[in-house]
Amino acid sequence: MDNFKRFYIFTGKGGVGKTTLSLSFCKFLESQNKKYLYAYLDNSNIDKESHKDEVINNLLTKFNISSLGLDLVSCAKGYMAKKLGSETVASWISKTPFFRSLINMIPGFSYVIYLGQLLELLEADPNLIIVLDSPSSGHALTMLESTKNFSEIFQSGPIYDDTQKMISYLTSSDFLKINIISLPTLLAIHEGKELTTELSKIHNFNIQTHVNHSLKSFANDKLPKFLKKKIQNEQTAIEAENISSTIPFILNSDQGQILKDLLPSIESLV
Amino acid sequence: MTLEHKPFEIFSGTGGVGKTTLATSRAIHLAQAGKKVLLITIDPAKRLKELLNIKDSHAGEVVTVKDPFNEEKDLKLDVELMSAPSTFERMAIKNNCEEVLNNRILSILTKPYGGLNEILAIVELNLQFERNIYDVIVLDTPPGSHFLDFLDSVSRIQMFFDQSFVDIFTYLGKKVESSQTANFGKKMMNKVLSSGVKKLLKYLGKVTGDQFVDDFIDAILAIYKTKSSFLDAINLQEKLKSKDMSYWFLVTNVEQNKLKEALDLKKRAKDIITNDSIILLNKCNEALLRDWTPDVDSTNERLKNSLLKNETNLKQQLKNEFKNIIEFPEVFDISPLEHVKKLSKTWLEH
Repeated sequence: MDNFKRFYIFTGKGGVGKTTLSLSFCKFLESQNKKYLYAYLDNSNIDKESHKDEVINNLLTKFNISSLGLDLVSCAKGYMAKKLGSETVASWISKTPFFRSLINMIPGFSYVIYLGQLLELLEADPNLIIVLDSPSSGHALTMLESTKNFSEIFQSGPIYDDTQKMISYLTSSDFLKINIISLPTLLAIHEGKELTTELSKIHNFNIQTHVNHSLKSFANDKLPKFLKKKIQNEQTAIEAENISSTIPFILNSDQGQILKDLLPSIESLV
Repeated sequence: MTLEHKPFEIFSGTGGVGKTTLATSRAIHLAQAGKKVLLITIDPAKRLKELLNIKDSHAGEVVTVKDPFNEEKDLKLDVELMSAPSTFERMAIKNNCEEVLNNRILSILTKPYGGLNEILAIVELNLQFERNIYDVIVLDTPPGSHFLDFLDSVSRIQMFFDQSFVDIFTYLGKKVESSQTANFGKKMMNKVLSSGVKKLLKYLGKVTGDQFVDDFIDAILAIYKTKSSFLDAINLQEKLKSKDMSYWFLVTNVEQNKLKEALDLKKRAKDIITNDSIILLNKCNEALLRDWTPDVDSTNERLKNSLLKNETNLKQQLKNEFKNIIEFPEVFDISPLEHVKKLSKTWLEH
């Protein structure tokens, strides 16, 4: 019996190291002989100019990460096809301007379907672990809140039943863990905590906040005054907010080396 | 040299980079220069309330903050924590249709994270601009990809009111306005739906339940009634595009090294952001790091080089892409208000 959950969501503000940490976490799972899938939103076939997907794709190939990139429109289409029992009808519906604008005006709708798709994969393979590199904190909130919103909106019918099932999975602490990644400043940690509060208003999720890029292991007497002050601020913030997990700043600039150097600190994310 | 103010000053960035703090420092700087300023935050994290000590219960209202630094100076600035439900309420009142506030779907979707936040933000910005009382509206946008949603929202509004809808709306519009019966909307909707849309709703009903389709039609009718506010907001885009009307400040910081994201924002927003947008680089420590001479071959030396390399590389790459960069020093005080105070001084030098 081990401590691993089935589904990990990595979230937090932009630039806090979500992608690097989730990739390193995948490498960690690999080292533990776990079957994993790195899931991310891939809108590159809808939005040709999306820059970040390219970066992620390069990293995935370079570090040989087994991954699944899904876009919201095809998720919605696939879902409709299954429920209506017809690819043709679903494809027709998904092409109508009405449906496209519905998806665009109500992003939560497709997020629910996206989550549903991941849960189905987990149901189909009891050995699989999914690591979701989630869109930034606001989007993650919309995604998770949507499960609740849509069960309120629909009240009955197949989507309602599905959201009920999703909620029961997502609220099980053996099943899901949400890792909120933050930075070692008071403001950033506050934001991480605020996200926890917002998420807890939706459901009782299993959540842990981590402070990334911590400089505390570099503390010594010979540091200049401003760096000492910086580390002191970091310490004050971590204590004030009761943070149990810190991940050190990595001196390397090579991505592969960073993923490797992170491995010893990654266990707190399990 | 001082940056001359413009009617719209928009702060965008990748989140957690100091966007709200810098936007606030700019608003305070302008207020100190005697301008009438409104600072709006549409970031649902509402960092602003922490900075300026505004209560959550004031969300959606314009609050006047007097003498924020307690210096007994006559300094005033209007602030609004954007709240999607309040904006929607204002739209409903403006369009004389307060009954739409009862729509179940819309009241869920206009919750802070319900998904309509960015679209309503454009509407709110326009409602405030139309009041015509401010020299400058400083806007603190949501982080990262939410900012793109904000930019996209105009095209989303347009898409929603696309031709087929506009036809239905125009037809319904005449009837809705002349009708008094409560049940009328739905009947009318059924009548005028082209066979394609009707078929679509039938399929949709199979997946979503019929109740949803009914509620959804009601929601569309409700949105239709507030349509003019949405359509007015589309016109705002032209103003935001114009160099005379707006500054776009892209905020990033050394710690997060979000160069790729900043470039991505620039690239994806190119149709809207004026091409002389300004990069604000927060948390610069280069001068302090250069002054430090750690022992040769020590961990401290590696730390110095690593931090310095991060910062100088980032600056070089930013210089290749942007004409204007303003650097802000890292502030080591723990009090957020002290941050704002120190940062607002940097604006004096630019």
